[in-house]
Amino acid sequence: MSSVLVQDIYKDRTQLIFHPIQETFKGALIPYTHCLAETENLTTLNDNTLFQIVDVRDTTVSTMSLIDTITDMINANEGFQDHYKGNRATRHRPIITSVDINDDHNEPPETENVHINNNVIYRLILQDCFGNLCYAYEEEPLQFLRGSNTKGIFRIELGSKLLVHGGTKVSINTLHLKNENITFLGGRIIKLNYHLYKRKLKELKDEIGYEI
Amino acid sequence: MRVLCVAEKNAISKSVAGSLSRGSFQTRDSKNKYVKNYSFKFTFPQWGECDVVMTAVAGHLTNKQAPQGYGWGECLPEQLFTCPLYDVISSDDNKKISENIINLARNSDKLMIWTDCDREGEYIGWEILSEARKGNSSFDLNTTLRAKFSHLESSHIYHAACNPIKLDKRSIDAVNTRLEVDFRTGYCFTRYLTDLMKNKLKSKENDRLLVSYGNCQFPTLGFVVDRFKRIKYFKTEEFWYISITLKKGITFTWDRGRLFDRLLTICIYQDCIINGGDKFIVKDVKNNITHHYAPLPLTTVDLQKDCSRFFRYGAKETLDIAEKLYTSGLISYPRTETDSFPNSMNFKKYIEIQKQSNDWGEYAQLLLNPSNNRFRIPRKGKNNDEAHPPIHPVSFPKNELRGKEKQIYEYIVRRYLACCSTDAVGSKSTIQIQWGKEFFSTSGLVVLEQNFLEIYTYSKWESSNKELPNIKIGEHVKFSNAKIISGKTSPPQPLTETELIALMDVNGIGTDATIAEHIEKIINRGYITKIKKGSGKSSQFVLQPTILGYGLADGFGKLGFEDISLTKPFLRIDMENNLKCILNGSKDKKTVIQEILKIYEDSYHITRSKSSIIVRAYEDALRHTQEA
Repeated sequence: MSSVLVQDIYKDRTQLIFHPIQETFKGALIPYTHCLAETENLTTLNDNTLFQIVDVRDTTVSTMSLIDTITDMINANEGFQDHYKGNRATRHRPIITSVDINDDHNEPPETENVHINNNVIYRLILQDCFGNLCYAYEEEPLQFLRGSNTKGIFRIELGSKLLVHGGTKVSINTLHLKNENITFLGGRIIKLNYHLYKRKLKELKDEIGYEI
Repeated sequence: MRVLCVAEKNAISKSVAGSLSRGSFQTRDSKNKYVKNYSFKFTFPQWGECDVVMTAVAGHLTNKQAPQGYGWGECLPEQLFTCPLYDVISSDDNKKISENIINLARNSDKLMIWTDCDREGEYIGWEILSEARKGNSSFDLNTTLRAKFSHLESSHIYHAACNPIKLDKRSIDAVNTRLEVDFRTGYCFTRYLTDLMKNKLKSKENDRLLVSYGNCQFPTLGFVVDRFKRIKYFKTEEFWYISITLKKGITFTWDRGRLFDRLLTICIYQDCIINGGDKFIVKDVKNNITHHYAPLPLTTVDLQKDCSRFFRYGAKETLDIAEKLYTSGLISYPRTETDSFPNSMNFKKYIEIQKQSNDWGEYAQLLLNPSNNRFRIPRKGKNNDEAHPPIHPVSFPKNELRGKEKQIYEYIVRRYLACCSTDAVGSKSTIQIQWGKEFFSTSGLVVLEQNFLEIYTYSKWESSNKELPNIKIGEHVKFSNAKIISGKTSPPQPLTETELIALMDVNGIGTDATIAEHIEKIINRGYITKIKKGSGKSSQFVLQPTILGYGLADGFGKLGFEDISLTKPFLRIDMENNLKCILNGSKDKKTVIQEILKIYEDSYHITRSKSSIIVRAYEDALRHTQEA
């Protein structure tokens, strides 16, 4: 049964469905105003705010490197084989030809074996129910991005909902998240995960003007 | 009893004859001027004193051939996937060698194969047996004996002659499978590509120009094109990191490395200033003993990589020279994937031999003296081809070697002595500090014992110049400077032959014995070139695709194969795995050939239906080059 967790809180704002235990989130459907305000060095978020996560990015990795990884995941034929991958290649590498994510079969590719060390810092792009976008950085390693159920480049399904508590640090208009300041609610938005890797690959290439 | 022995090369035949006869043998010419017949007497434990004739082939005797009606222009290329195939003697020289074997077999009671002890050697043994049967039908796989040896030192050869085994049918089948797949796919694609590109290629020798396909050649080309593209299309990106300087010369580097987000770096820096001010806290001070490990025993690929790196020798050149050192009895068989010496190896015997050297004899002596505690049993690697031990010296040259032979022999000796030496030892000091919530580190090294590095002069491990501060855990220390530094990513370096060998090895393209040939072949075919970069001592040759090579790899990459690729290593890895299945008996030759050819046939049909993409890729590459 549908609920706010699998709805787009911006586009479906007027038709959001809350189960009884989700009623408390209604009060968090407020705009994130810091992105509209003058830049402030250090302040805090006033009230609990509900966001949906529309992008996740490892800030220790270059865009080129990310393009390489995704290309290899989508179709090893188009990937580069001119670099040493650590292990003697003794078996056929599975080549994923499709990343269509259809509702209940929207698992990211199984081949994503992304090692995360403690020095990785993820940058999230969050969207509130009014469509405002903002960056959110990890102030400490966030459990919901590193748990046993997370995997792949994006770690979670895009469109997952995140409740950021009032009092969370805001620096230069960006949120700085700690585990104690957030409640990860899960969920997804199907559209955001549809052809995710192909779409992301195009975005990344456009971002740096990569021509291949 | 009359015993016919056949080696893979005349030089091996002569050396084995010399060892078994203790230098007392008679030499007779055969019809092939490079192959001699050596006659002598030898006492085999199982047969007593025998009359032995030792002769040789010159590598493979036969090759695959399609029957009449399947020549170029006489059939469609794809018919080569299914046409009958025959094994025929490959040249007039080989016909003379075949006649020699048939004649000698007529007067022999036993056949003993002395080909190299690898898969290819087993198959050549089978070819020899097939010819010998024409002269003596009593020879078959059960009656034919096979000497197992890995170097030409006399006692080893004597042991091999007295303890023969049998030819391995599965190895023969595996090589036969590879040869059939290579023939069918190579001929089919080569004919098709040559006809397709003939009118497009600007060459005065168009009629003789061959656009060849080989299932190792193309992935090898693929690596070169991949690197070229990666450089060509590289986009520089800016990154940022925080660096702390305690005082001049003492800098702490950020444990996070670098971030590709300026805003985040600034936020973190700002947070550090607020929480840490101008002081850091010392979190950890460590002084550990560290080791620089002595090298693993030497494989062919490592020999080729190192000779390319240290002496700038090509892979094929290195292997040719090593082959010469082997046939001269100076080193063990140079084509091996094994990086562990057998437990029974008498290491000190081969160190002892090196005592007579003016250059490293003293070090050999040092290793042998137990009071020095410098000798160690070499480390064991993870690769074992079950055929040959790692490359090692087996004797000392009677006459002084010169030039490249001298250099490669010296390298092999030094590597062996290094393997038998203790690791280098150092003391590594590391200090970790915390500024705000961020961690930074610095370290220094003092080399305490050089050990193997004394003989293995190709490798360097030196003490660092900086002196670390004398600070204690928990101490709050004021620093002189903390700043955000920006940098830019740089493109990968052009591909060197050393790297290409490593890539081929790690991806299973070719074998220790053939990697060099594949590189040589794509150079000769005009798919890649060697270009000298830099000048003086830092100059090196790098590999770049030609317009044709680039166009072919790019074109094949754009054909839109769904789950196969002709320019990536996957298909070849699959084939190698299938050959291993033949070796372990889990698949038979027929099944493997059918499975592999089906994939190639499918790719051929896709290639033919989209041939314009390949032509266009070549034309694009040509146009871009002309514009540039």
